[in-house]
Amino acid sequence: MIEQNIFALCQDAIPGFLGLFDLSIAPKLLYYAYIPAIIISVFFAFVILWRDHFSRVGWAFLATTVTFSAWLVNEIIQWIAVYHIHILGSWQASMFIESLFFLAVSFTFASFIRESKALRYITLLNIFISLGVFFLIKSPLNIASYNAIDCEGIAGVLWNFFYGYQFFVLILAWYFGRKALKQTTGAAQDSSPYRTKVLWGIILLFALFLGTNIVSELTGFYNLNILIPIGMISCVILIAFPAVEHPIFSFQFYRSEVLIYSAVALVGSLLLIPDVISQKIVIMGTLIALFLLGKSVIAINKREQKQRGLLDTLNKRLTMLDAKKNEFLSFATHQLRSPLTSIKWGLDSLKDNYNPDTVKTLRATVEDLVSTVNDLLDISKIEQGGLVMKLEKINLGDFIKRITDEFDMTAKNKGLALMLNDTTNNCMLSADPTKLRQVFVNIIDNAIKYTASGTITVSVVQESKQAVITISDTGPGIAATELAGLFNKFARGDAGNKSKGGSGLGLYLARKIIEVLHGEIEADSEGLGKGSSFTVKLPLV
Amino acid sequence: MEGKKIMIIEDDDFLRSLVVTKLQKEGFTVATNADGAKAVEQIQSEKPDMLLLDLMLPAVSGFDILQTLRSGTETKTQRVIIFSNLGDDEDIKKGTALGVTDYLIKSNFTLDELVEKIKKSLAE
Repeated sequence: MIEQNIFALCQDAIPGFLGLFDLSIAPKLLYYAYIPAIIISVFFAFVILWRDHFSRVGWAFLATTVTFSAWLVNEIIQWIAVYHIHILGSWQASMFIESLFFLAVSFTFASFIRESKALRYITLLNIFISLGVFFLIKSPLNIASYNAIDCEGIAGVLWNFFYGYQFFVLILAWYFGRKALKQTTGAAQDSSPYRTKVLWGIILLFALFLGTNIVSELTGFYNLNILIPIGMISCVILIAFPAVEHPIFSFQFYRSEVLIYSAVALVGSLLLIPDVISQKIVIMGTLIALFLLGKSVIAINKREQKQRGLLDTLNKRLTMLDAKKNEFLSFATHQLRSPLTSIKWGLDSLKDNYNPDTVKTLRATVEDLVSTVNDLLDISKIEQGGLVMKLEKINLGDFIKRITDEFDMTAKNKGLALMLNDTTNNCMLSADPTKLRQVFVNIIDNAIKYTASGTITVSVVQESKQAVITISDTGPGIAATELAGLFNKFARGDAGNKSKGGSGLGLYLARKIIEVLHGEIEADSEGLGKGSSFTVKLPLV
Repeated sequence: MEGKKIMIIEDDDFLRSLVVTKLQKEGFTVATNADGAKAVEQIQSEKPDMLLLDLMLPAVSGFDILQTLRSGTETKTQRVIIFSNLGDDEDIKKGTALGVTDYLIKSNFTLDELVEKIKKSLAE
C-alpha cells in the first residue's frame, strides 16, 4: 500500500458518525449483539465487585469483563472505521487487547487457586508475553502490510506465533484446572463446582477461538470468526458463576438466570447478522446448546442452593436445640441437687441429734423438690416449644376473684390484708386457665410468703385493648440491681432467701407463660424495705 | 485441726447452719458470709485457713470472688474449696484454672466426707 494514502478514506466509506465512523458498513445487529454484551458483562462485574466487598475475585472478574469489552469495541471499530489509519491501528491493537483478556482470565482463574505459588510465575510469564506483543504492535511481525482495497490488515508472522501463545494459555488453563480440582479436599471442597465451571468456560473460549481461527484460515471462510464472541460470552458467564454462586449473594437464582438468558438473547441476535446459511446453522446449534446447557446449569444451581439452604436451616436448628438441651440439663441438675443436698445433710444431722425444726425444714424441702420437678417439666416443654395452651374464653374479674379467695385464709392466718380492686366489667380474654392460674398463684403466694405485715393489693384494670393486673405488697422489696434479672432462671432476690422455699423457677415460668399468651410481665420496687409490685398485661379478645 | 479457721460463703441458711454446726463440733473456728457481698474484705480480715465457696450467690458470683482473691497480693494463695451444685465440665475447668484445692459437688458428699476433705487438704 502507498504510504501517503494511510490518512485517506477507505473506499466506499462515508464518514458519518463523529466524522470517523460509518455506522452503515457493519450489520446493524452487530451493535445489538456486541453493545449489550459489553453493558451486561461490565454491569455484572461491578455488582459482583461491590457485593463481594472488593475481593480479589471481584477485581479479577472486572478486569476480565473490561478487557473483553475492549476486545468487542476493537472489533466494532474494525467494522465501522472509515480512515485507513484507524482500521490499521485497530488491527495492530487487536492482539494486544486479546492478550490482555487472556491475562485477565488467567488472573481470575488464579484467584481461585490461592495455594499455588507457581501461579505467580505463570502470571509473570503471561505479562512478559503480552508485553512482547505490545512492543511488536507496529511491526511487520504483527501486521505485515495493509490491504487498502478490502480495508483490512494482512497478518504477519506474529499472528501465527499468537496461535501458539493461545495454545500455551489453554495448556495452562487445563493444567491449573486439574490442579485446582485435585486441591478440592476438606474446606476447599465447597468451591470445586466453581472451579469446574471456570475451567469449562476457559476451555470453551479457547476451543472456539482456536477452532474458528484455524478452520477459517484453512478454508478462507473468515465469517466463522463471528463465533468468537460467543465463546467470550460463554466464558464470561462461566467465570461469573463462581462470583454469582458465592454465598454472600442473596439473589443468586435470579442472577444466574439473567446471565444465561441474556447470553441466549445475545447469541440469538447473531442469527440475524450473517447471510450465509451454514453460518446460521452453526449459530442455531450454538444457541440450542447454550440454551440447554444454561437451563440445566440453572436447575442444578437451584437444586444445590435449595438443598444447602435446607441443610443449613436444619443444622442451625439442631445446634440450637442441642445447646438448649444441654443448658436445660445442667440447669435441671443444679435445681434438683440443691434440695437433695438439704435432705441428705439434714438427715445426717438428725442422726446426730434430733431437732424438730430440721424435720420441718426437710418436709418443706421435699415439697420444694416436688414443685421443682413439676416446674422443670413445664420449662422443658416451653423451651422446646411444646407447651400446649388449651385456650378458653375467661372472664378475668371472676378468674382473679377465685384465686384471691383461695388465698384469703392463708393471708388472714399471717395477719395480712388481701384486697381486690376490680374496675373491669365482664372483661374477657383468651388463655389457658390452668397455666394463667399458675402465674397469679405464684405471684400472690410469693407476696404473702415474703410480706411480714401490711397489705397485699390485687388490682384489675382495663386499658383500651388490654387488661392490667397488678399485685403489690408491703414486703421487703427488691433491690434495683436485682430487678432486671428477676425473671431469669436461677434468679431469686436477696430478700427472697432460699430458706423461704419454692423452686426459684416460678417467675421464670410465669414470664414464659405470659409470653406465650402475647402478654407482658414486669416487676417494680422502689428499693429494699419499700415493697414491690408485679404487673401483668394481657391482650383482650 | 484444733483452732483452724474455716470461712463459709453460702446463701442457703439451712445448709450453712448444718455445715457450721458440724465444723464447730469438729473443733474448727467458723466464719460465715451469707450472700458474697464484701466477702473479699472479710477474707482479708478473717484470714481463714480454708474457704468453702458456693458459686451461685445473690450478690456476686463465687467465681468473681475467686478471681478477686487471685489478683490480690495477700489473698493470692488463699486455700479454696469450691462447694457447689454446679457441676458442668466448664465450671470445673474454670475452678481448676483459678487454682482451687478442690471442687466438690454438694449433693455428692455427706457432711462427714466434707470434713474429711477439709482435714486432708489442711494437712497437705
